[in-house]
Amino acid sequence: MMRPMQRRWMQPGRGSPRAQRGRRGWQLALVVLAALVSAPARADVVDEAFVRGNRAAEAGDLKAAVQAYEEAERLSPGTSALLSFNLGTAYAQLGEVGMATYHLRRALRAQAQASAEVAAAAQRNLGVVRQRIEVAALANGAQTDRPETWRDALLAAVGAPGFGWLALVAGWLALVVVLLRGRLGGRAPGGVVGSVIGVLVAAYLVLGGLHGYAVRAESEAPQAIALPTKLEVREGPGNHRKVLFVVQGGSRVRIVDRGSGWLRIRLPDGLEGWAPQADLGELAGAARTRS
Amino acid sequence: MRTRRGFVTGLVAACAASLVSGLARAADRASVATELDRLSVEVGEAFEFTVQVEYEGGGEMPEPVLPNFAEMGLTLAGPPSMFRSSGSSVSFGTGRNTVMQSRTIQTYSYTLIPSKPGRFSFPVHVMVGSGKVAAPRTPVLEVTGTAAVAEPIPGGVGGPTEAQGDLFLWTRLDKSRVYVGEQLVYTLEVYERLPFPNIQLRALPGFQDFWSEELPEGDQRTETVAGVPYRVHPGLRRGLFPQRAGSLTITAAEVGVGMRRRVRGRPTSIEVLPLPVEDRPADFSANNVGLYTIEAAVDRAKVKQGAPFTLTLTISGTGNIRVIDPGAWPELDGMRRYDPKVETRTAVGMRLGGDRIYQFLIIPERAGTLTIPPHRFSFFDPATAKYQTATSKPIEVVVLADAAAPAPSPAPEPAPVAAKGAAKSDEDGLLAPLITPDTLPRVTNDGSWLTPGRFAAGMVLAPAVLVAATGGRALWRRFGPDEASRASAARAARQRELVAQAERGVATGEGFYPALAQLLQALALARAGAQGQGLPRRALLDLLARRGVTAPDLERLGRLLDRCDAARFGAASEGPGERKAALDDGLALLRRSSLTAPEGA
Repeated sequence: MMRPMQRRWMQPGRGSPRAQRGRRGWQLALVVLAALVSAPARADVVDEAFVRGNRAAEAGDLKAAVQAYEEAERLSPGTSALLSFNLGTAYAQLGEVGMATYHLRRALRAQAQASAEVAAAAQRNLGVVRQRIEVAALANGAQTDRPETWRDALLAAVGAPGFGWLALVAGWLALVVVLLRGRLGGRAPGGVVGSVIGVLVAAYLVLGGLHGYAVRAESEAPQAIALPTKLEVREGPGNHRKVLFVVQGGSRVRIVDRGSGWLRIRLPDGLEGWAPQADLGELAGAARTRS
Repeated sequence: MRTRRGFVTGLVAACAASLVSGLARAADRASVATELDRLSVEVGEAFEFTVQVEYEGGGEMPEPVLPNFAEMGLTLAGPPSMFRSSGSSVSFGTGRNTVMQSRTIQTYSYTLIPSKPGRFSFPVHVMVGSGKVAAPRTPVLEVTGTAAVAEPIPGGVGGPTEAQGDLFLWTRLDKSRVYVGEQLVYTLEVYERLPFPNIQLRALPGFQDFWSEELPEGDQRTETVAGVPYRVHPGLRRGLFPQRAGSLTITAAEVGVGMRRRVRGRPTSIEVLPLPVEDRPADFSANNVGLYTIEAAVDRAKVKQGAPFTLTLTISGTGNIRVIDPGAWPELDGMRRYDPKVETRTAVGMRLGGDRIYQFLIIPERAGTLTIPPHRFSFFDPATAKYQTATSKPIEVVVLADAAAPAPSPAPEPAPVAAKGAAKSDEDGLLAPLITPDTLPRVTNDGSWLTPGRFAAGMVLAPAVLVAATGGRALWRRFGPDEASRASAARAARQRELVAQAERGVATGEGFYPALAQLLQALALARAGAQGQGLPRRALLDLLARRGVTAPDLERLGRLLDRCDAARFGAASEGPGERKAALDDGLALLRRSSLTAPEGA
């Protein structure tokens, strides 16, 4: 279909020179546009690994699916909420609640920019995995974190970058209004301007304070997930140290100190001890894969 | 000088050579001396035997050759203590060679405890070269009393019937014949007539064929044995569970009185019967000998489907409760059971017993009234010499349907590979399925631009800018331009305002001429200065002429002002073009004319 058209375009003497220049310009623009549009849609190695994982999962080979998904994660780390969701779900189907929780939580991070569909599915699977963790903790006599409270949800929400932007915009807008109040005074009622400034300053202080608190809490004691089924927590950094308690895999812990290859962790009820760094997945860190 | 120095040097060298060449080592010589700290002791009473070896010579110190203590029934109480002293001397002979002598004295001290009476001598010698040097005197020790009995006596509940000196040990068993696994209480008592201050158990009795559990010791009491009053100390109390049938022996215990005396008890034997074969249940375990009951309980009688609850089975009774074998757990219909947490609470009184508690986590997998069947286990009651069965009561649990709650996973641990297919089919209804598009949606950058540092800077910078602006405004007011500059600026602003008003009025004429007239009037007054205030127009123009304003500019100014008056008071009507031309004239006067020249120019 394209050949006659191209031949016709290439035939000399058809139309005026201006018309020919116009056609060539359109042709060039179409080629560039086609290149720009088709570039992101072209399958790359990440997509190939992802599709390979999907097919393995459909065939019931969850181990192969996890391997393929992890390969995609290594090729393009932390860039896809959907990949984290599929990886976490595959691990959940394999019964590895620690890795499942880790990847499902990563899918729900604000930075992952999960779609509504992925976020809803990840929340659902996280709830299922959570129930398994609680049952396993009861059966194993292991420690686990308490279920998320409204405070956890609030901290997670206000820790999102959007809240920070809101606080900043409110603060700078209040500043602009204050500085221009003299000029606006003649055109807008003084009470309205004052109210606007009050609302903006309140938003600046409240939102900014909450966001700062959440960011500070996360940076001082970042969250991590216990990856093995049972994580032995010791009184000091070293395998020769006494085991204080056992944490059920998939539990959320806070990292309060770091040693050489070991992390000091704290459970929400205050229990503290040391665990190998390799057995903990930091949610804010680089993506952890098994292989 | 050289001759004298050489002479002295030669003399010293000759003396040294003479000393070295004349030095001879004395011949090796040794002697041995032995000593006992007492000549007579009783069986079990420690004594000290000292050996001193004196050796002169350059060779190795010879070791003393001791008599065989074991054959003499002597036991070493700890390692021997040793002490060594040595010295050297050089004797310069007159007409003979110079002799250097080296002497070493080594002292050995042995603490020995006799176990049998008799008269024992202690010959000791040392070997020097090929020669034997014996002690000049051989000490002899008289041991009195009776030897410790090595043959076991049958155990029993009775006490001693005859006095045995000022201190002896006595063993009691609460039974003389038991079954395999049956509890037997062993008691070791110390009988003393005198208050010995420091009695310690030096050697425990041997319980090789028994499972042994400590029991609390009894109280001290006084007892009369064959008319002799004794104070009886409880030394040891154990609950014993024989592990095999036959005649078993519990070896003797030994106590020490300070460091000087040992007292040994007598071994005890007990007859152990095998468990009867008749009527033995098929599920019987040899660990279950005693008297037991079993109870079952749940922490909740009504639960939701999929919600865990705890089933507690408690086996209580008297016997070796730590090793009780509950047997196989019954199958639970509609429920999943996890491995139990096991706890043992021993009750140690006169006999060993207590509770063995098994706590199961149960997950009901379907709704309805589910029954936990009774659990049975068999044991052998030695009191009646019969096998018995303990049975718990069945328990009903009401399970409420909960469609929202997903059924629990098959196992908390990773499922085996072979079971994954089946597990997956169960989980498909629980877990949201995988999302499998052909391409993977990705975000370009993982990290947010708003890092904590940038956020903090932005938050701090806003109030900082406000403070800086407020401060700058205050400084401007304090150190800003003077009155004349401000007045000039105000005039310029007023001019801009009037020009803008005139420009807006060009099209319609509304407010055009008043604005233009005010603009020109203000221009003329500014040029004329204070003297121009309140003057009529002609006088003002004359004043301006005197101030250096050129005639054409004055004429143009006067004409424009007249046009403004005419338009304002209705004497003339002009169109937009004429108003535009008038405005341009006015602006020309304002910007490029002698009217705008400074007063001092």
